[in-house]
Amino acid sequence: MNWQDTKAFLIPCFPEEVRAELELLLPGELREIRVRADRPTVLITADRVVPLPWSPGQHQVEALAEALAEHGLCARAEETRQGYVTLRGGHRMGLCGRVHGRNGVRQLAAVGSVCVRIAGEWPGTADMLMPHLRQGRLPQSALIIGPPGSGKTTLLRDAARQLGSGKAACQVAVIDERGELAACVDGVPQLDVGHSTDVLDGCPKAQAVPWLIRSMAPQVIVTDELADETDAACVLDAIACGSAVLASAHGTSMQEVASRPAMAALMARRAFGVYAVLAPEGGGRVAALYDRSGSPVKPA
Amino acid sequence: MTRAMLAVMAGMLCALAGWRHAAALRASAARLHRWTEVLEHLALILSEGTSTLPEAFERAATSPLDPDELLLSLAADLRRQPLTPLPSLYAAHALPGPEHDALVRLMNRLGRGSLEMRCQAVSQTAEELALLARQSRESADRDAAMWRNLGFIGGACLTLMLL
Repeated sequence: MNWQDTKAFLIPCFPEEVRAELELLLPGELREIRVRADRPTVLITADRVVPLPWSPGQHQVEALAEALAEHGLCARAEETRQGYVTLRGGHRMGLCGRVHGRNGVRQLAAVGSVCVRIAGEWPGTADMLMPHLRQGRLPQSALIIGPPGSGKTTLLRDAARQLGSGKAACQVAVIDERGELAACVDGVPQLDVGHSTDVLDGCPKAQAVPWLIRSMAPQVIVTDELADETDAACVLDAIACGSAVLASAHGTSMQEVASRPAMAALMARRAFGVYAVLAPEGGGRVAALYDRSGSPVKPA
Repeated sequence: MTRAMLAVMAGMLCALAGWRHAAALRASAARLHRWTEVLEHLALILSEGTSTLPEAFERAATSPLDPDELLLSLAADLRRQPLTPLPSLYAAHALPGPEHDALVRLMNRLGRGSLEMRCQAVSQTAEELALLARQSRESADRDAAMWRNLGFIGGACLTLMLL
């Protein structure tokens, strides 16, 4: 969704005080809109925070959440239980407020604040990594390592897009457990993840890997945030079934990731053909590349 | 001759007024009953947790008459004016009646809270309107015939008096 479409979607949902500011913004500038009951609304751009003269009441915040969700909050109970709703265009609306629980199930009973995070697609983020993702015609497994905010998800998304597009496109499958890679609405990706890409949205990796292997025969499986032994086992299962795995993990260096038992097991088995460590300042910039044995590799 | 015609017309108007009042009582009872059915259907649809509010309204409205027509109008308004709160959209369409207050409360609750709370709001309103429908039907059964007969008798008396 381009900026014009995003504005056309957002503007009818907000009052005049917010619309006027949204109209002034340039494409790519807006990052977040934060709306809190009885406090001024704030627009957050790439380089500044813009307070607005609109302090909605709690009912207005709820009405805004309903409008942004196209009056579909009642159909998104599972998402609201996670605290967010994916909007048209791939944007994400975080919800906060009063939670009540019954029979062990917690639900959002009243919305007190809303955070709209504007989705950004940055084609070309994975350009430096792409030559290292293919061994001949076949893709090879890779692990993206980076601290929070370094652009791991952005890079994974662009890599999936490039692998799943063009004449040499692979069959790509994305396991989008938290809805951040493809931002699906009703199973349809709102962000560009490639023409030959299938997305399994909201499914845990342990169930998603056998599902995809059986049903979609992917050549590459893309997934975010490897954390524990279960995730590591899923990676090994996928590789054993002939799929390459493109994944990410939190960390600031190869050594830090290798110190975790689950990741150490994957590295010891040389599951990944290339490791990319991202720079902390964001944008998915690759700071260092390593081969499967941990030796530095010169970027192609 | 003219006087006779005027007398007969006055009598017929009086009978018509009585008949229409009786018909209005029965129509009010039928409308409340239909609201109960529609809201029970709406509660079922919402509990599935798969439909947006406009979709749920459209699925629940299965006949071309009131109150189904009102729900379809609300669905169209919600799609066209997402920023306008549901109670305001309802107020633009609603006609006064015994169900008005219950529906205003429902519209206030329908756009807020968890799925469970919304389903509860619809179910409770359906029960409230079922009670109103029962009372309205009893009143119609008791009074509709009376008003119809009063209209005819009054019309006949008026005709005789004027002749």
